[in-house]
Amino acid sequence: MRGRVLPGLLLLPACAVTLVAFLLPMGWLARLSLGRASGGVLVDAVTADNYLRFFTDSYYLGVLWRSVWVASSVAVLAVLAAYPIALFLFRSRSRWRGVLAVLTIAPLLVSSVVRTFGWMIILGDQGWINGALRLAGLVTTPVHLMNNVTGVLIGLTEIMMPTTTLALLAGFARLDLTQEEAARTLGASPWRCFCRITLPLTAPGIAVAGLVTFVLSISSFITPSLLGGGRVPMLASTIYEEALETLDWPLAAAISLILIALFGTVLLAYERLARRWA
Amino acid sequence: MTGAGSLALEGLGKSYGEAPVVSGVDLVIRPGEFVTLLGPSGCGKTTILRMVAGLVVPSTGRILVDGADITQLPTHRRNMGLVFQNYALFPHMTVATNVGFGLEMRGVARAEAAARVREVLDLVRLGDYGARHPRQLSGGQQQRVALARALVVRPAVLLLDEPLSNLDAKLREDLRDEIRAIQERLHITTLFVTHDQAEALTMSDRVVVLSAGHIEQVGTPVEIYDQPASPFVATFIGRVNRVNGTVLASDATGCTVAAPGLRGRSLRALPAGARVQAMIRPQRITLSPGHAEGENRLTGTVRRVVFAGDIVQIDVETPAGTLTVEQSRRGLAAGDLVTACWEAADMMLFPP
Repeated sequence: MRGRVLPGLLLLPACAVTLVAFLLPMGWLARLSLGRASGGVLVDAVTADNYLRFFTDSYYLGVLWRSVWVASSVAVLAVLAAYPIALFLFRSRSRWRGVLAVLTIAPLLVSSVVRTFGWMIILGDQGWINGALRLAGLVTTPVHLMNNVTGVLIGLTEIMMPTTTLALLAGFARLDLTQEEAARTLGASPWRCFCRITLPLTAPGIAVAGLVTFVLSISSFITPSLLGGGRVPMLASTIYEEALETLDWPLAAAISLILIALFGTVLLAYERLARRWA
Repeated sequence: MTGAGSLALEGLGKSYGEAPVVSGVDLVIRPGEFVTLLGPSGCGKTTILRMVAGLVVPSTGRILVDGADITQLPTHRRNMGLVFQNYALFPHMTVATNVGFGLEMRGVARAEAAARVREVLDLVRLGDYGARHPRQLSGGQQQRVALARALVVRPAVLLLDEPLSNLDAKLREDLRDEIRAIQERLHITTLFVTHDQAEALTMSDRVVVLSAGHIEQVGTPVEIYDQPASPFVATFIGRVNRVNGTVLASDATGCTVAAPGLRGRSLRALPAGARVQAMIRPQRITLSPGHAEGENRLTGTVRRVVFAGDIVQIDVETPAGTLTVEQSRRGLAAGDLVTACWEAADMMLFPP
């Protein structure tokens, strides 16, 4: 009897925290999204207007579409850039492996605000890249690398990379280096060994890293705001504007729930994929 | 399905930094021969195998297959069949795809490849398992798939890296016999790595005993057991009793050794006056009750009797030290006075 009750008791605090800090606010948010605001004041109402507005207004649909494709692109770019690093770290037998692993994830120790400011110094019209291009005589007018989608993509990809690398490493459990060696002895060139053995066996890592990067990118706020210069509105920044500038809390709540639904959809798709590998 | 190549290692060595892991290994393996690299862990046996496979680059020396130098050849062009301790099957492929992988890499036509895969799966008695995935098989079955995968490409040399170590005792013996039978049937040159002397002795045409990266002795299983070239080989292969003594006299047929309570005769001639270690295997000693005089006889008291099923292990305390005796006959008990005796041919002498 005690053996069954005690684990249940131990779960209670976590359940209570989840209830108070997550489930109740979510319910409240759902209720709020069905309300209406008039001149910044909440009006008592139950209506689907906010959702209808989001899905009929081309501005909001544009925000949704932009968010999805920016986050997808960042996921692809970050996985492409982090994959070789993760594979190297996974394979390395060097005594520097630990140091390299720490260096890889060290950027996480610096706030993404600071890192985004760093990118502004590099990407700006008076920044290092444009300075170098001008010095080399390649351009006379600056190449616009920020205050547009390009800047958001570059900055967000780099900011996601440490997390992407960690997620990749976590998903590499199925790869055993002797499998690669076996393939080599059986006549596989390094490239064919990669295509037939390494890539399929690291696919779960790629999927989980892609998922994590997508979810974090689509909900990121600071980097798209700063490097987009307000010209690349995405879901998170739109929620912020509706809530704190337009004071349309119900619409902000509706967009929040749409974002959560989007997460759910992506997670379900990942579940399907993961079950095939299990 | 034959792939008998000859394999020659010439002055093969490997060092990481200053420390040599393998040094000066010379070995010639004839076509169709089964040769075992035997040694304790860290003796460099796996490194030698991996150098042959091309997975480790040698620091010195050459590797030749049928006289052709392959030292610089990358792994995938060497035509070796390697079986790993942990099987290293591809989990995302079926058994048949696993086995056919080497043929796929060689661009063998589909129909021919399928036929060869079927043939080799029959050979390892897994004919009906082609459509399964490795995780659906037992350890022994997985290792037979790994063997089939290595054999199907008709490698010049079959390399086996402790293939039985992950299996339980009974299965290990079965698979041991099976591997040897297949190897003889296909007449395939085989280099086998193990730390298990029973595997080495039962499977091999010749055994290479390694210690600290160099060869201690190369010989048939009988040779390394009966005529070990060094105390290391004598103690590593089987068990031995050690008695320290001095050579009294030497002649054309051998020498006489003196130790406390013992005048022993050995067939090995060492100069008179030399200090020696005499080694006698526990099974070569016979015990008789009571006290007896003569050459190769040591009288002592039974201290301990351990029953181990097929044999009884008896520790006898003698003036020359404690002797361990293994015999199938029971009946002795602690405290009994016994005389241990052995043949001159069974007393091996080494410098101390």
